[in-house]
Amino acid sequence: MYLSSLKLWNFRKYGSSADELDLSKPDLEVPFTQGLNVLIGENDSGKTTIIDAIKIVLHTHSGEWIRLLPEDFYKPANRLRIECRFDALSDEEAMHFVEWLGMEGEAKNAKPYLKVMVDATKKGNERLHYDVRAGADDEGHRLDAEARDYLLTTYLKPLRDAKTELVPKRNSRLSQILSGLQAFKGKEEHELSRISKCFECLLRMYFKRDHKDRNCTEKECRYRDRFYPERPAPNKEEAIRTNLQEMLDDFFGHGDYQAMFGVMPRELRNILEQFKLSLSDEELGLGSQNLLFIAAELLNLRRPNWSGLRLALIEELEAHLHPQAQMRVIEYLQETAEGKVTIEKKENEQSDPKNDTSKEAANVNENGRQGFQTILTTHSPNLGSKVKLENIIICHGMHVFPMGAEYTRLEEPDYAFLERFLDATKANLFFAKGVIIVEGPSEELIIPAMAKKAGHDLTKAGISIVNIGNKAFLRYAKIFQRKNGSAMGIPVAVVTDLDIKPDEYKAVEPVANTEKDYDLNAKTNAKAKKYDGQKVKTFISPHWTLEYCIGRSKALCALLHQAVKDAIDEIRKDGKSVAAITETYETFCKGKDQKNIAFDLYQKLIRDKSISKTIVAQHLAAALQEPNLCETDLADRDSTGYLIDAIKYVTSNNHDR
Amino acid sequence: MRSSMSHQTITIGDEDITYAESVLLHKGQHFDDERRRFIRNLETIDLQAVPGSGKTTALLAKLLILAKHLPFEDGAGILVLSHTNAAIDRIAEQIGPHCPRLFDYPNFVGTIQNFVDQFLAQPYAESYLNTRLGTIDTETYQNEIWRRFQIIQWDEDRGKPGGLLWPRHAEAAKRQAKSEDERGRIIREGIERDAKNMYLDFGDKAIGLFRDSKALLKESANPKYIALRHLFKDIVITEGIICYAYAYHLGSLYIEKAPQVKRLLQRRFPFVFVDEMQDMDREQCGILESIFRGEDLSGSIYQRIGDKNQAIFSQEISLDDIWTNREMVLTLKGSYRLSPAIANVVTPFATTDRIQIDGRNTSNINGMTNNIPPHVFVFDEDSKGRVIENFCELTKKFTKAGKIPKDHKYPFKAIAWRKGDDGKFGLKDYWNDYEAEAVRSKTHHAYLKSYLDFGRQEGWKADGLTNIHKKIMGGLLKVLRIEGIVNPDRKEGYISEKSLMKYLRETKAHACFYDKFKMKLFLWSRDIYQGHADEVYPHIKEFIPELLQLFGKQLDRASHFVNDESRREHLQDANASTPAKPRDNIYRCPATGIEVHVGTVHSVKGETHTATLYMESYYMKDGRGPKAKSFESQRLKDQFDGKCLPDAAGDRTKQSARMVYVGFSRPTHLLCFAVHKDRFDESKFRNNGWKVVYAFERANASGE
Repeated sequence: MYLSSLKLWNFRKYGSSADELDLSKPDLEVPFTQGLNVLIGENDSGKTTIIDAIKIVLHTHSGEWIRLLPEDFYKPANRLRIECRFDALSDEEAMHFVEWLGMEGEAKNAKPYLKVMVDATKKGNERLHYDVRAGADDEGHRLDAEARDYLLTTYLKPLRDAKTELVPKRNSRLSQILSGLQAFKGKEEHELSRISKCFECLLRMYFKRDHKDRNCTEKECRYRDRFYPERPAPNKEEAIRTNLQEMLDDFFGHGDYQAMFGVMPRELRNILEQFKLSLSDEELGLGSQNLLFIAAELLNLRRPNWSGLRLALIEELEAHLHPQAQMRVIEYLQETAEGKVTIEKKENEQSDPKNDTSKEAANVNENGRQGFQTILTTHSPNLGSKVKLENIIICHGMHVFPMGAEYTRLEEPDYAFLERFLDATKANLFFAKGVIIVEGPSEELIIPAMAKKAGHDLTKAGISIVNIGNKAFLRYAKIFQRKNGSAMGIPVAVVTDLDIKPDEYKAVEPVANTEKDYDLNAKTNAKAKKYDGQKVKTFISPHWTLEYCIGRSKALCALLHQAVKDAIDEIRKDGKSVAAITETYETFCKGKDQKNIAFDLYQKLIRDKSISKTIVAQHLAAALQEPNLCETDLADRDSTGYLIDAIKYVTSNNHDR
Repeated sequence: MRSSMSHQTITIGDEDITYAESVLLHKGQHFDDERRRFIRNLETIDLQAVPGSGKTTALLAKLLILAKHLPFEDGAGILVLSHTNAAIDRIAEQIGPHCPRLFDYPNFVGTIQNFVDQFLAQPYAESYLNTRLGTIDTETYQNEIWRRFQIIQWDEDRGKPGGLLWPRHAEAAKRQAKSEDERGRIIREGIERDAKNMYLDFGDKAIGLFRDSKALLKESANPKYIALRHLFKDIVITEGIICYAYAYHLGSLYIEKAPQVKRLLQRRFPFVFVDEMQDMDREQCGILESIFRGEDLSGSIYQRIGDKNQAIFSQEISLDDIWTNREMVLTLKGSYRLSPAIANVVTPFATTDRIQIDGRNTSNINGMTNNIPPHVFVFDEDSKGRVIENFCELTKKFTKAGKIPKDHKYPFKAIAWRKGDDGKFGLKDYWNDYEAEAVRSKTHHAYLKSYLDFGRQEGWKADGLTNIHKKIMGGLLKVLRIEGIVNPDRKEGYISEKSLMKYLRETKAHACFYDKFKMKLFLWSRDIYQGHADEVYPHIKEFIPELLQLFGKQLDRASHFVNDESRREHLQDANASTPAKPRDNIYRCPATGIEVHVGTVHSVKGETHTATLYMESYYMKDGRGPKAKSFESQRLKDQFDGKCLPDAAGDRTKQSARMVYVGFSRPTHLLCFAVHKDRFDESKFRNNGWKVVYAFERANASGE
């Protein structure tokens, strides 16, 4: 079984002021996949709210005290509701909930599902009373506590203090996990108990050599001689006891009580509480402790003879984890979700093809997958890039945007492509408030500088620039376009070149198609149409390429020239043999109109000499901070105005700037 | 904490049985071999047990032992079913303190009805009909149908649905009625009876009568059909009201639509026990068979316990086809209630599964073993009223002689099949003062005052104020309903106590009213409990307009209901509610002072008496002329002589036999039978050890 959807009404920020809940229109609905689910979003985007809602209904194995509070109600509302729906229940799982199941379909197609809900109403400042109910209708029937045990989740909180969880202490989390495992479960007569009793006896023997425990069935103690070759106890030790005995005699009267040192009796649980988990003897750093802790918790999720829900809720997986470690954990979770990790078999299993209990032991669901479901939240682009796109759910504003195929306009080949090319830097785009998609490093470097000059600090505004290194904009654009439902509120600007050579180019290659050969408007519109949609807007350079356009601006051209000069100097320093530019800018411009200047600059200086556009861009970006430049210079429509448009577009949502 | 066990590997050993003995039996008592055999058995079987065999105790022993293994490793549970809440309570009383776990999830101990409701009918309604069943009560359901049906039955626009039911009763009326009025009455009552028994089959959408396999009306565009379907949709889906029989129908549909439910129930309940299996009717038997004995036979272990020869409650006359006989049937032959003499006499009346009952109640009194021979009282028209008196004198004689213990702990009872309140020969003929009880717990009354009076009556029970509170609430809700106030939650449908209170509690404007209301309810209940129903009545009457005002209504249509105190119902009430004259139906013999409880055979099922007098009564007529049979003495002549009932015996003969089987198997010491001299064949009785007593004379003259 797995959690297939979460629905919220009037819970924290997701609400409507109406007290009448429209049960067909939840204020938030989050669909989950059977395997890994990664909630990505900036702070306050709702990630924690979603996790908390699940915890309130299902509770956790670690027994955290979780309750609905008055603050959890959407501001003016007095009634809230949380629904969790579970699908793909196997027989072993469904049997625990027979009286609460819902059924869909008929005869052979009848499939059970389980809907669990919390519906609470608050009255003034009274304590909230609510119970957890389940059933096919809206009200459901109260779920028995033992039945609810089968729905507990494994929860790893953010900023885990792994250290406290793994050390010996009463009711330690480690002891809880261990006592649930097959090796220890229900075995009060465990080997460890016997050892513990012997230990207790040994301690007493320290003070009284011939001590023997009443319940000991051994004829001869196997440890006594080994530990205490001296009998009786040497004076020092016996003295302690004697002194104590004398005091007792004084208090209680002679001979009524015998002083004895002993140890508290041990139940298996108490013994397990003595355990701590560590890697080797050294003190571990926070990161390693965290990994250890996560491993221990996941151990719990893997135990074979558990016929309840296997769901891990992990907040901020990346906390205290080095990026490499993050990757490993994510990979593990992804593989487990896909069933590539096997779960140990039950102890007494024989492989009987008829029974195929191995399948049951590993909690295989209908699709033959093993493993457990994970819902985790993250801020880390590292993680974002490692996760399969369809396992990502973007949280933004009042909505969530799952990235599975039914929701986006991406198609299968797109998913495959994106998975190959989405690395950590590009994964930034999941966390951004606005995105500018560019095709090369020049735009990537120049646009932020330009933005700053124009008065928009892109970093502060949470805008990501994603350099996809090619022209496969469509795939990336489709990430942000939804099949149905609300548009993602994230403005996306696709910045691309016109890629039509200026007429001057005919001087170089007479047969080439240049601007006058095309209907520029039509071309531009066609290109834009390809990528536009919902909040994705395309911004095309008015001419040829970005560098050329920069050249077209009188104000910027000089800067570009200088940048090229500096770039060449830098390259020459590296040992490359390129001729330096010796002539001055004025000389360069003599006798040319702006168009020609631009063309010569771009074609002759940059292209012909194969100067790295990236290095040029670096220098130009720095130069753009030139105080004499003003915004209007940048906004030249014939030049870089389109970039300013793009910048303005993506920052249009920002109200705080 | 015990380690969870896999239920598949449970075995029951001697220590377990010893443990059960220590809880359930007196010191020194043990379970004998045949009982041990049953307790140890963990396979699908039927247990056929003779009367007084302590079968339920044997079942309890098994439950106690199984419960020690709870909780089961895989979360499975034990299912224990019986027929009445009283029976379930008795189980809980006896073993609850020793194994409380058995009464919690994931186990289920309850009535078959509750099981079907909770696991089948409700889930079906919620998943497939999109509705929540609020009331599963036959009386409510029938009232609902009848109320609505009456409105539409002769409506032209709706195709006059009454016409569906009219023909079958017109025939009967013609035959039976002696006057025009009576004919009309017979038809009207017949239609009402049928209408209350109608239902909409949610499977094939036909409209039919419960227990009648032929549909009344198939799905069509016929206005009759449309009107009726609308009626049922209203009751079942909008109001969420169904009757017990409907619950079984919905339950069966659930299994049909989602067959894997059977698999899931088998997994959830690897052990299923049904007590008093003979009282199951066709639907109950069928649904349990289909769930627990479905295609996948390796699912549950299903054990049915009872005595098929005591099936007098099931409405099926022909029971043979209900129970598929199991491959394995264990028996409990030993009866700890019956003496050997009585056991011998009871045995021939078995209708199926004939077992020679081993009467083990040979308890010793004053050196004499308990073995009084059965006695038959022969009476005539004049002396029929003295039969019970003769019975008293006989018991006195035996008590004096030490054959019946002086401090007998079980009562003396005189029973018969029929009451005789229909003009035919029955209890009333033997004792004129016998009152056929009319007072059962009713939910609905015609007038508000009745609610209060019945509330007072109910209040005498241990539950105290709860029942009275319920009654008052019932009356108030009825007022609201009559005035057309709907459920504020659903905006349509009945307003229930829960939704009314919720509404009052949550509406800010009514906050103080809510508190006031609760206080008043308490005070009224208390006052009625203390016997002041008459004083409370005006207060409630005063309060009602206030309540109505909250909904913007005034006392209008319900005025009659609130204010009238109808004479008819009140006369009944007057008798019912004065504790001074208890209608306990106890005959007090003037001569001996001995008390004898008088009642029907049905009323004494399961009981133990010290001495029982079974008096024959009239039931239908089989055959004609002098050979016609109506009384037990006629239908079961040979059985009194000790011959077993033939398999080919007719349905009514078998029915009589079961009645006698139940009646005769009550007493521990003395069994008596009363028969009219015209029907008495002395040879049949004397040969089988019966002692004859002629009730014309005093008992003293009878032989010993």
